[in-house]
Amino acid sequence: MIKTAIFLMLSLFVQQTMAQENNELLEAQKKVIAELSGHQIPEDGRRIPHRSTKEERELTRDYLSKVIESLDLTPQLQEYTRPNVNPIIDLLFEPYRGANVYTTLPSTNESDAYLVIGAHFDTERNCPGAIDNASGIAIGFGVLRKLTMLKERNANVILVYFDQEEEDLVGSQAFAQKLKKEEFNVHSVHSMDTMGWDRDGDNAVELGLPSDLLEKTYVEVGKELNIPIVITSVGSSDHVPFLDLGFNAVGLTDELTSGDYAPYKDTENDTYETVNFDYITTSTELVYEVLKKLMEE
Amino acid sequence: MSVLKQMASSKVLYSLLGLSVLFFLVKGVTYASIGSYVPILFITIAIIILGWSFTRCNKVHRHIIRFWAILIILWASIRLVLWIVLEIDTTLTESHLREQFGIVQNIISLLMLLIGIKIIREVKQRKLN
Repeated sequence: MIKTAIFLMLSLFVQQTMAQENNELLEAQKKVIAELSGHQIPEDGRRIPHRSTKEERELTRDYLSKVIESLDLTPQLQEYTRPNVNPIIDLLFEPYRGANVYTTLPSTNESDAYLVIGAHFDTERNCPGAIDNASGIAIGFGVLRKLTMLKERNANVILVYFDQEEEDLVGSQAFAQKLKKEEFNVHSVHSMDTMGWDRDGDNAVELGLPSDLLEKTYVEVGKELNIPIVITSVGSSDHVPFLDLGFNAVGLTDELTSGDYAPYKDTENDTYETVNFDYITTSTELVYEVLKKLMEE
Repeated sequence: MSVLKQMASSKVLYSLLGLSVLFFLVKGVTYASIGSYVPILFITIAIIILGWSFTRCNKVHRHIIRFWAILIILWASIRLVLWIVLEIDTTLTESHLREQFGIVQNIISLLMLLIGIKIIREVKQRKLN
């Protein structure tokens, strides 16, 4: 009887602690989206209305560095200069210049393997970009925060916020090349883009161009969490440069091909008010559980 | 007439020519360092042809310098027209495109246009004797 009572009390305590942690995480994610989309002014008083121009992107990088520091991790910048898509254009225009923001969460057990989670931080001109892609940034942040709390990690985790996705995936191209050049042992890359819309409330996530292993893992975890996984051949986001260089990469998004897709994407109406935070929570859980499973394997 | 004597006889012309070549050379080296070789190929060919023209008669030399000047004018004109189009059409949202037309970049375009025009005038007036 006493044993049962202690067990029940402990269970209740654990449940409450977990619920509290989830609530705190959601509040932190809401804050990130609110501040990135200009809905709320960050503590340093520098409002981020959009994330498109050179100055806006620089401001955003500073902000993201602080977000990473809030997890007691060290933010790093990968500055790059890249040619234009068409070499003839190089004669007329200056090259692309930008910088990705990233951090590494080291494994607790010795490992040279890396899991990479990424999301782009830039927006189209004059767009607040709450769903495209502050939502992806918040999910990446949430996943990393949950991973920091794991007692054991069998792989290193890189969280990267890509610059200039809206401009021919320039930032992710630069980062993929860096990983390739520096011979990182990358297990897989998980890129999140536009994950804040779910009108039908089914929590479904689309996977773009997953490998068999990643498809299997996401589908299995999705079943456990009651999240439908839709496989597509969509190749228009930051996972593509990694696939091009032979990495095991996947793109995650809301239901682009199934029609339940952010209608205000790339417009000035892509605001904080339109974000579905239940979807942010379930998507965070999905990616976290997948990464945890991949680490265990 | 030796190349140096020829240059000394038309300092303005050859200074402007050198400046315009230097501009594209810097551009070429910058792009070559990031793995794009079209600009360096372009300026290398231009330098070879301009250099070769010094060994030819004045007429050929003049034609080649004038052709280079026309290329510069075209380059500057395309950039200035694009800038005007972007100012009129605000629906084009690509940031990278818009960042090509800041104050400094537009001044460079304008300078190159003036350099091109001045080179053509100099070639015409001095006949490179």
